[in-house]
Amino acid sequence: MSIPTSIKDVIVFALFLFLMYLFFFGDVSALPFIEQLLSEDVQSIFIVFLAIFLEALPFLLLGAIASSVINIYVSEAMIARVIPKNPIAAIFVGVLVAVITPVCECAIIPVVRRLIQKGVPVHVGVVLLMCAPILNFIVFGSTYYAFRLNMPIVYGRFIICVLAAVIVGFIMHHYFSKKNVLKMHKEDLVGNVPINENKGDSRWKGILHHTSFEFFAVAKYFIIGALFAAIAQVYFQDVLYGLAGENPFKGTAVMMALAYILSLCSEADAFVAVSFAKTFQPEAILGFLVFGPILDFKNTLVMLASFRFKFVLVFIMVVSVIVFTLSILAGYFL
Amino acid sequence: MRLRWSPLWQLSNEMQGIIMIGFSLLIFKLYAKNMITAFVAPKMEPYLLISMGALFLLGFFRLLNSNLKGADCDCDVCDENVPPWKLALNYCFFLAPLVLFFSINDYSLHDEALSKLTAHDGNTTELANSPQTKGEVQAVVNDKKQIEVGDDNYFQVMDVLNNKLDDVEGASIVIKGFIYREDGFSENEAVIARYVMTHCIVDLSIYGYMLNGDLHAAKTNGWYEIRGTVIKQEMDGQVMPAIKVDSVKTADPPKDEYLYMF
Repeated sequence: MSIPTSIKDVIVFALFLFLMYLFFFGDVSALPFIEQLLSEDVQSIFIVFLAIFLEALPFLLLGAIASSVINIYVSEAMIARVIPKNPIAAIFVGVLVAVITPVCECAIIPVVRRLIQKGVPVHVGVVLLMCAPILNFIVFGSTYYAFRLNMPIVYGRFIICVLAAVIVGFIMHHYFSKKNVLKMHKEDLVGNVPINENKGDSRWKGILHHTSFEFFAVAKYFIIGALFAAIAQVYFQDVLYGLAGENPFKGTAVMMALAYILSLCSEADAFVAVSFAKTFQPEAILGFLVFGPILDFKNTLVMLASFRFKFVLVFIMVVSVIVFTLSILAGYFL
Repeated sequence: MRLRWSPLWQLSNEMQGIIMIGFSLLIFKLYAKNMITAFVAPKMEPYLLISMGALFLLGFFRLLNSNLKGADCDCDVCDENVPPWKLALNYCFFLAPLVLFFSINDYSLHDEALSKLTAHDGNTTELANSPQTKGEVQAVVNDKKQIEVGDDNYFQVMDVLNNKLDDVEGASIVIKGFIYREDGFSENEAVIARYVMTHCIVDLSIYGYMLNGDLHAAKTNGWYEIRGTVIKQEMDGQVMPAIKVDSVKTADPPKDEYLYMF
């Protein structure tokens, strides 16, 4: 499909001028009707939305770059050498890799997708998906500061995360090891095109080019997810809070739902969790701390962009059940 | 020779370039207006500035190299042809928020939204055990045996009041903040509070101390300077620091509305 070059140039140029105009005058005089359109509530939604977006932007970029670098520099042969044939051993290698992967829940998804494409078994990808956001030093630091008076929560968070990842890894190995879980993209249909062959003149250009593509593929879903999260933040938070009770099952479920809706970054959620510590039982807090980084509103949409719907659905259900059960069990030890 | 017709993926590449430049300009504008800390904590600022540079360069790279089919990146998905309506819809997701972000002028949240965002903080005063600074009693109490609480020693003081309450009980204290009343608080009950951000405004929490004394003059959400004495107070079976109020004076809201944990 094509378009006359002159029209294309006019569109692009007009768009550019429009953005420049907004850049210089957007807040002063430009579109006063937009401000009038927005009630105070809507405006706060957009401010929360912008905050979530700004908070995640560096990590989204990092994820896109990491995924492109893997695309160009990591070959299938390398992965085959590192990941053991034995599925059980492979799961533990996955946990170890997660410790040294310093990316959070939005950035990890394109990375895992790329790795699965390169031949990493699905269940190892799942382990990485679950462990990488929690098992890193920044998250350990923030959890420690927030709960240093209540150390079992700190240990519990990391132990439950690893346990849940191992269990979910096994389940996924059982059901998805032979299936293609990635969403069909054109490149999957082309067949065995050697992806790693250099077509152009420079690898750097390739990385840059691919980074932009990856960034837009992920950011689209992220923007929708962040918008939903912002709406939920402003409208539904106090509703959920009202459901709190003495019942540990109900409390844990409520906290997990809250973690899903709030979509906090794993580095910050401990500080929010500590504010719930008096209202909810420890198992509910653990559910919040483990479930939130693995699954939330914004990263579900990012996942849907990369994986097949059925896989995402099963993943969400399995993770919810396992994390819920483990949190309740942990409650007996605390 | 210039081609008369261009493929749609080229337009799509160029739009991506422009949108990336747009986002980097947005960050630049927020930075120039000193507004970044109204959304995220200062520790995020360097990352955002790096992203700004990266997006700007990537955007220009994308614009200037838009005519290379599958340029160097080997996979042919990069430059897919999509129908025009899909293309337009696709980039609306990016352009609409950009336009909105550029045209909103007032970035501060109004009180009602703030209270909704922080609705989960049941008991404000008991939050006070998370700051990372270790406060020393001598460091916060000055020569006149008075504690002056400012933005820079807020968490230090909080740490002392929580962990070494016996040492500072009876000391006089000067603290500025806004008056926060939970549902069910009577006119004479209030918290002198500040909003504290750890990462971005999503995780705002309220930190503060219970006030004791004549508070009829203090309006909810108004900014006041409180002078008083540090006392012990029992709440839900826990001993907590509170302030016995001597005087309440209206104050101007501070330049930085939020305090930052790190």
